[in-house]
Amino acid sequence: MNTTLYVFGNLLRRDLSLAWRHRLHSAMGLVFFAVVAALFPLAVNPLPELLREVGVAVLLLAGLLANLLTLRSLFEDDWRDGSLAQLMLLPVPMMVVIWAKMLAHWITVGIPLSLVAPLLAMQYQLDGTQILYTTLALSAMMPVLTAIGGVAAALTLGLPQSGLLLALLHLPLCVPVLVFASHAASSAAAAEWWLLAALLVGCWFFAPLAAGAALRLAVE
Amino acid sequence: MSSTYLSTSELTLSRGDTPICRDLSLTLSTGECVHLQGPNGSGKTTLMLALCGLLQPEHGTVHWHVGSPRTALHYCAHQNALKAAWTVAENLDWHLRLHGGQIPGDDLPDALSQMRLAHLLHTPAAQLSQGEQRRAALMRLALMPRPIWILDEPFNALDTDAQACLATWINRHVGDGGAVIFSSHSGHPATLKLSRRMSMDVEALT
Repeated sequence: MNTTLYVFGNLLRRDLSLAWRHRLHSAMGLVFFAVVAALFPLAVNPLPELLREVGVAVLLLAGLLANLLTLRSLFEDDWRDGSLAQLMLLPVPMMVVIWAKMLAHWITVGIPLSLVAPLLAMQYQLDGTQILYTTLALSAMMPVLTAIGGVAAALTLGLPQSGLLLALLHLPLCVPVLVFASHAASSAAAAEWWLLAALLVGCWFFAPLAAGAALRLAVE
Repeated sequence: MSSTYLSTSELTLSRGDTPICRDLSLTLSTGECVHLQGPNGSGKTTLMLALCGLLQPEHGTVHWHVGSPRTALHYCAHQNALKAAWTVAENLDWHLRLHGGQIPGDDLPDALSQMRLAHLLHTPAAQLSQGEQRRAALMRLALMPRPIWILDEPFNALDTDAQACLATWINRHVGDGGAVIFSSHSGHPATLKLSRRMSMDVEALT
């Protein structure tokens, strides 16, 4: 147990330190999110009712696409330079390795996005409570997307045109979490929040199992 | 007294539709150095992956009698597993932290100078030549003691001096009771003390 925790902590620090070393690349998701969310109000008819109507959808969709943009790097760098085989030989289950990588991805992509979301939400004439709910819904959605995306990224690892396949595989799986998050943000009904929480727990538990099996195939 | 580190029973492997070996029984004992021979595409890497447990054999099993691939093995694959953005020292440090957790052995500085890497320690791996990267990847062998070394084409890209140095390391490791399997399609330095050769030939392995 101690070894597992120790290796997990080191893996997380390794991935965060690599992300910091490639910080321009890691910031791509955040920049994409900010640009889309900031430009959208300029491109539509600036009626306050209209902006309020579409604001939640734009923010959630921009978050989803920003996440998709950064998913490929989750396993690809390690696979390309051969580090993935070394990681698979660590004295911990493969699930632990994937958990650490998913957590690092969420910290580098999901958390910065959730932090700037309230600022961007202000452009859409939302009031304080709506901004809070939108931000919370986005913060709950990002880790779910990372987990689902981890499976998709592992399955498409090393395939030709993996970017396109990744999008085709990933986006349909994102529909439930997108629906629940947008409902939660606009209606603030308790049921949607519980469903989001259930998705979060379920995905973080099962996704590493599936991703681990897919990574094994990629290394072979 | 020689004890067995690793054995396979009725190992059958194939890559796609190409059979690689059928019902292969192989043992690796202390003090053995095995040269896996064969032309390109004959399945040397596939067999090594199966021995490391990274590939599920079609049939048969690989037994590890001492520890497991996760605790008793140094595997140097064809790819160097170096992070381009990190310096050689950082790459080694992270490898040690993840796999061993202990402080490196006292002979690490010696090993670094034998591989002529001491002056490159703080150079990012991206700026190293092919041979230097290979040398940096092989430094893992000196980082922590592990009984079994599985090396995929270790002599590739190395110059004569580095090849001789690696041969010395392998001889010493085997002399200390370790075991080594390495593959090479082009041969190896004459100083290397081989226990036996294995030819990756479907007929020879059935």
